[in-house]
Amino acid sequence: MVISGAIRMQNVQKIFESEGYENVRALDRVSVTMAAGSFVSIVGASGCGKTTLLRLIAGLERPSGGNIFVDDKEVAGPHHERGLVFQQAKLFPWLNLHENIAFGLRARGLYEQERGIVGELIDLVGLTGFEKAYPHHLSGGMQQRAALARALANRPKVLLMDEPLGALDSLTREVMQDELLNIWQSRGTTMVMVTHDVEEAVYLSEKILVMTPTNSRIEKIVDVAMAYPRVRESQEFRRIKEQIMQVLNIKSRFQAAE
Amino acid sequence: MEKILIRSAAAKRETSSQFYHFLPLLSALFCLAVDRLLPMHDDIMVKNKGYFHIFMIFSCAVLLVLVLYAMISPDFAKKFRYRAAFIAVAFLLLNLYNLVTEKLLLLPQLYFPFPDKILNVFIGEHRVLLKCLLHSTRLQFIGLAFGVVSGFLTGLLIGWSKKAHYWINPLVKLMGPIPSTAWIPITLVAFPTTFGASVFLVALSVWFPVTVQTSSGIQNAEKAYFEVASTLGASTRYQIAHVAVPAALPSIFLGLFSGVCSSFITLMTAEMLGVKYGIGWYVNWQREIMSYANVYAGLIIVALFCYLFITLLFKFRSRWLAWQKGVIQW
Repeated sequence: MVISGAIRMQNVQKIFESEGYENVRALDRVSVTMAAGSFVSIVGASGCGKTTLLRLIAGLERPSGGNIFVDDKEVAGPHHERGLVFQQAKLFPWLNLHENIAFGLRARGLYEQERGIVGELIDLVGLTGFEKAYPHHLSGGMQQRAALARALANRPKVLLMDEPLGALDSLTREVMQDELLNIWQSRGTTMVMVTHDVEEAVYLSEKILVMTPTNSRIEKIVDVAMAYPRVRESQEFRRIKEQIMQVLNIKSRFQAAE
Repeated sequence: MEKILIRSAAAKRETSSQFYHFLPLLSALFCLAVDRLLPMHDDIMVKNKGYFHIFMIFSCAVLLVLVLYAMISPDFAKKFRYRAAFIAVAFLLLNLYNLVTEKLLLLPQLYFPFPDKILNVFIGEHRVLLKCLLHSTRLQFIGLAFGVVSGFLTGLLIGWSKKAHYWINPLVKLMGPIPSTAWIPITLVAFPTTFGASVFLVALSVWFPVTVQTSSGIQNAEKAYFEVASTLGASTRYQIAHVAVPAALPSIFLGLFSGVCSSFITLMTAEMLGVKYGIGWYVNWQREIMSYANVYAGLIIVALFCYLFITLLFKFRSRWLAWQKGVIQW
């Protein structure tokens, strides 16, 4: 398996201009690399620009300055090699589960050759038997699994996830975290996940980018070298979690004093 | 003791619901009896052809069959019980109308023909009526087809393209609210045939609501769907066909519904003004020669026609929008 999907951001800036208001600087000269096939999380409080970062990689937003490369090709817009999963599953309500997952293949005209993938993915995310169900008949967790499968059907090099488990209850969440690990380990996709759950980030990622709302930059990059599966109660786990919390807390206290 | 009470209460409920099954039949029999036993008012010069009598016997027979069927099928019994009161009251009102027109002549007979006279029109003029119905249906369908297609395309254009929105939307806003019947003077001149003019008017009345609802359906479609589609590798054209249009479909249906409703008005008006044949034309013609029984017959056909048309529309909707949760009830 050739591992691809390396992401390189150079001095990326994003400024949102809005008439009548001050321009909002969402990202300020961010430079970071994410290795091919790695699992990277971006943590931070809301408003720190983490979602903007993800949308820039997806190609849904254009940077105001700087460059983004995926495998040395500059990102020019959305592409099927960079799959996206939102916090809300956003399955197409007019398509049933099978059709939702097949959407990408159909859109690219590959459905006839590769229809087998759809069934495999439905198996992988544990939704066998629900192929004909419409999204509103599925629970939140099932919808989110389907959304994952839909993004994976294109065999993306990079899977971008914006708080993919944020809307789920805590039990479903932990199950889904293990499923994410499974998918990542079996497919070698580069995973980039935005979350505000520090524990989730430490449990899943090899690299954690910590962002704060004060200056819209990456405050700290934490490399997590622990072996999988990780034990949440271990000392090392807690130490890393503490380390990240400190960065987030100090900054927020600092903000409160302002 | 308590148990017995409960059982007797249940039994009582059971018998009272059994009684409900007979209510429509009793009402219909009452109507039949009144028609049979009371003589026609002396001042009425028209002969009673006995059609209403036959109609009531037929109704009683049908209701009897339904009552018997309700005894075997509990599912049907439930539905029938629900409708029973309504049907019974409907026959009661029919009975009342028959009473005040044919039997007692409390209303001027020119404007309020008795039921037998109206039924007589259906039978005596069935050829003309059928021809009119066919004409109206043809006009309605052709106009509807043009209106839906052009409205859908205009709406798609406005909803998707900013440029089209800039140039076309003011035109839609300006022309849309004009009642389509106000176009009559122009269309009569602009079209070589009155049929063409009528098709245009019907199409116009469907076009506006379909346009507005299509474009607003597309504009209100959640942005996230398009974002997901674009990261899944969907081209713009694919996104229009497979995201924008299905997302707008519930809204398009609403437009279609209000378009069809207003097209009935246009259809009737257009027919009254120029077209030869058609239910609207028939009603207007009969009104002019003061033959109100025919007017009533025509109106009953209009009501049934519109009812059937909209019922069909909703059948179509429940097939195509099965995925939708909230639905308009019909």
